[in-house]
Amino acid sequence: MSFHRKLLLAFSATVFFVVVAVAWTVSSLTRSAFDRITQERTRALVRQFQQEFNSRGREVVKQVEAIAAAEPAVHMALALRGAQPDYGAYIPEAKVIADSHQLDFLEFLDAQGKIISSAQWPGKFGYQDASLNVAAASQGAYLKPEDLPQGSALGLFAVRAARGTDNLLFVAGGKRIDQAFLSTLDLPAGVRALLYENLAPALSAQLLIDSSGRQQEWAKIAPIIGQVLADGLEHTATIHWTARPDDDETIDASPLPGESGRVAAVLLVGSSLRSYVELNRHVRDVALLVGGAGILLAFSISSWAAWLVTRPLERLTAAARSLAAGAREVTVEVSSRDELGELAEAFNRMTRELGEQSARLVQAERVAAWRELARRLAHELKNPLFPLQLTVENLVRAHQHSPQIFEEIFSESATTLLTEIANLKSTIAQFAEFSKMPRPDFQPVDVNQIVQQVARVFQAQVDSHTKIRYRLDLDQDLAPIAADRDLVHRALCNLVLNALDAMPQGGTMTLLTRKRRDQGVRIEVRDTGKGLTGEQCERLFTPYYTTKPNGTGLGLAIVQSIISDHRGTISVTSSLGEGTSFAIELPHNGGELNREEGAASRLNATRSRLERESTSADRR
Amino acid sequence: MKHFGWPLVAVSSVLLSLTYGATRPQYGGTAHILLRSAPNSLDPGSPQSTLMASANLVHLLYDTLVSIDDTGQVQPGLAVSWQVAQDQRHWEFQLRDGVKFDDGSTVSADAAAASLRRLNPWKILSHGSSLDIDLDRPDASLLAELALAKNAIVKAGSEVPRGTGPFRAAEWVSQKRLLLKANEEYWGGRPFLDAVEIEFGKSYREQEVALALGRADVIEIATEDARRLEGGGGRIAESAPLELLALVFSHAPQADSESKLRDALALCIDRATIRNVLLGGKGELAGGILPNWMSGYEFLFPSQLNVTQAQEERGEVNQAPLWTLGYNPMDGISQVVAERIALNAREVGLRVQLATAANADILLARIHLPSANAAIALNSAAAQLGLGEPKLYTANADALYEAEAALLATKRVVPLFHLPSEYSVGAALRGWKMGRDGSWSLADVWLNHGESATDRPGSAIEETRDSSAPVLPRSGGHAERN
Repeated sequence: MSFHRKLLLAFSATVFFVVVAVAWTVSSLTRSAFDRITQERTRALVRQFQQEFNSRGREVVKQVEAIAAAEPAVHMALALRGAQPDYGAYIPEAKVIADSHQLDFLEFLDAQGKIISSAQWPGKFGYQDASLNVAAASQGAYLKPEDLPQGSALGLFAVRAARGTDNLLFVAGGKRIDQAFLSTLDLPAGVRALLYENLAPALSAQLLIDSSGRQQEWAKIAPIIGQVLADGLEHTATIHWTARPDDDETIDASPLPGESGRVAAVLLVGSSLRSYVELNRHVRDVALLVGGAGILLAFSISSWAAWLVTRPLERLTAAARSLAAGAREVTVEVSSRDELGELAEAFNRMTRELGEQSARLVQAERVAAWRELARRLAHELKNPLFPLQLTVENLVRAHQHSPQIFEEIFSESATTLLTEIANLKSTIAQFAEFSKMPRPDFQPVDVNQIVQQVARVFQAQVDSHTKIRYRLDLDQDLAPIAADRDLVHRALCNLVLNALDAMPQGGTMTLLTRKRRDQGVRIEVRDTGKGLTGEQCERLFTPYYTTKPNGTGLGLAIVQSIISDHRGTISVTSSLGEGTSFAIELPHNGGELNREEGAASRLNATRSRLERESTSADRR
Repeated sequence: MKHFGWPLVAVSSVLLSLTYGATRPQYGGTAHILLRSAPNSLDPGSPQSTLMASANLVHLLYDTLVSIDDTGQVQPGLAVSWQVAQDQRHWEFQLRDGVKFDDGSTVSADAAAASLRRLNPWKILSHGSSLDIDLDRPDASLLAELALAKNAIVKAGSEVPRGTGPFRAAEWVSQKRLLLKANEEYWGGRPFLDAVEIEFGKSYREQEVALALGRADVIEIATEDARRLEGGGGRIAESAPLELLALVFSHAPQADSESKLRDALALCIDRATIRNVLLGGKGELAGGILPNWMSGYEFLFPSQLNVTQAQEERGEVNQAPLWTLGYNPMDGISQVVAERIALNAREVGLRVQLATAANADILLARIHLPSANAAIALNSAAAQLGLGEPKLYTANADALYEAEAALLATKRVVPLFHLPSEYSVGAALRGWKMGRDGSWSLADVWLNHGESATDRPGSAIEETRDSSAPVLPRSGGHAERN
């Protein structure tokens, strides 16, 4: 990963984490503030409920006391004195009085708790009211479930003895605690109040009400009610009504104790989390906006910083690459005096020293090469010179003998001289050829065709050697490549000649071609001769190195030079006693073909221009 | 005794003559009647004619061929005589001569036959002044059937139902008001009253207030109020118990356990307390569908409280279902009785909850028995209770008992009370008699003019008349509706 990218990543990560941390902090603070507000609202609502509850309780007590002090109650009590009451005479009594005092429940009971008249259940006369607590006759209002013909209801009750009747008659009156009561609560927006009336031994959805009536949202709210009923303590839970967080609601459940301490009802205050979710969403959006802007800013800053820091490094990198590619006069600009400037100066110093050392090395190599060339030339020229010297000395001596003998010797010596001179010329020609190796003339060529031509050149020689077998293994799918036909032909001839020389006892020579993946060609020349050692293989392409008694050591050097000029490679593998294989890899060189065409056209154009200039000069 | 004998006789004679003079029948005046029911038709063929009040209205406007008196004897009506074949399938009635509908047309045998054919499947033939009725099967109750209000003779083909009763309709506002005028040509003699004004849809309380203020002469009263009004010195007229208050299950029991629970419910109801406290001591405890005075065997069906046995029956069933008990919310006493039954049921472990829904498991039903004839009453009661109709065609007591026992054995009905109809009559109305079957005899009552409601301020007919009501104009002495 580049330094630039690392820097960008570091900046972005920093901005991201900062934004996330800030957003999380704001969100946490929001949540805690919202929770605090919710708690305050819940407490306020519970207080309001309690106040309303107490107010209604006082009202009930007042009404019941008024009824207990009124004439009908006194008359009823007097009628009870020592006589079985005429229930029929009192059946509508409680209902009428309850209506006039706006009470939902009203019962007149004797000292034993037997109902004389009941407003909520007129047919209940004569029955014992087990829930009547005479001790409550001096207490305030309390919650109590009341059986009704249609089921049960929760009521706020008060009990009082009829005044001046020696506790002969009790009045128990009350008001319902139901949705009408809940509707009197002043609820802030997003808050609702529900009441669970604990009227049945088991939890029942029918007993959960709000100000609009029976509540249908039961399944998710039941557990918290069950908890409050079980331990009589307040509980809070967040309920996810739907998959949308906007619909979430915090439910605070508080027990409402009845007279006996049993939980008579559960007040549930629901606070919608919609506003909190919307606020949180707003915070998140702002965080995303800030984060995005921060990342863009980080990108800009990191780019600028990277430009400052990495530009000198990139120059150094480019210079190092040039140096590696062979350039010697490479320097980098020193644009600062910091560590990077020192690095650039050190690089420049290094390249200078490297250039000087390289020049010295080239000079030494040239000297060595000239020495080697002189040594080889001396060696190659000394060999024929010695017979020449002997022959000339022999002619000189023969000149002192008879003309006939001289004639004889002259004739032999002349032959020898010519032969040795021819050898000298040959040696000189090879050196000349090596020194004057032409540049390849790239043309589309069929490698298989060249191989077959080479094979035909040496066919006669192979045929004369009965122990040598010739094998051609050609890939018929070869595509034409750009190459110099003559140079390739010459290189192959050289290799085939070497192969034939390597098999004086006979063997198999193989010429093989294969198509390469890059549309180039692989050519192999294999023999089954005596093979080469590893050291021989390493030095084989060194000019003037030869393993043959009469070799100049230039043949494989020329081959390597030709292949190199074709941007190809040549390699050798050999095992002693098994044979040697030369492999030539030639690329397709299609670009060279185009370049050749361009050069040819340029050459033609130049030639035409020169001809036109010459013509015009002649005319002048 | 010797010293005071004659003077005492003389004084007594004077007092008796004065009393007679004060109660002597007088013609004229308008009687005011308030009713709680609100009929929407004066046609005897209307289903409402099975209700007692509507039946009484029918008998004011129309006549039947025969009628049943308080002793159960058949009395002539439009038919003066009748004969029945031995097979009790062919009946021949001789019609009364000279009877006219209130539009002046003569009541012929053809008209009577056409009227009866409207609602009955019988084969009816007329010839001369006689009427033949051929039945598919013997029916000893035919005369009682013909005495029902629905079989009153009405002039067929008339836009307005025309009858032959002691009164004719002068004004009629459906469900609100009916003004009757005396039928001058009534074959039984002109009624003493000139008119009768009946107002419908009045609550018991409104009626009571109107009677107390002298604005009504006859009002209906709730059964439970009768004792109180009697104690207050009111004149109470009471019929024989002709209404049945009963629990009716919506379906037959599906298993023995359900039958046991229903038995437990029937046994646990404290009918005596309900009667004494809620019904003001009125009515009779019922174990059967028909009252004892009608059937003669009702006492054979138990109606006594037996909590122990109810608990035993309940104990044989593991789980009691929650029964909803429906009642008519318009009937005040029904609600209290239903509440009491729910309490009684809870005492033995039955779960009963009140509901006003019509599809309750149990319904506290209150039905009117339209006839004093036991067979007809049982047929009607079974139909009204949804128990199917036994279709009794015999007056045989054994057959009746078996039919009623079979109905009770279905465990679909639990009879509770037989209740009378109660009316309170104002002081000005004289000669008021109510039949055992709750029938009025308005043709025979008269008003003491010094105390008539019409003579009291604020109670004149004109003041209560609805100006928008259609008036039936007299045309040649006949009332017709526009």
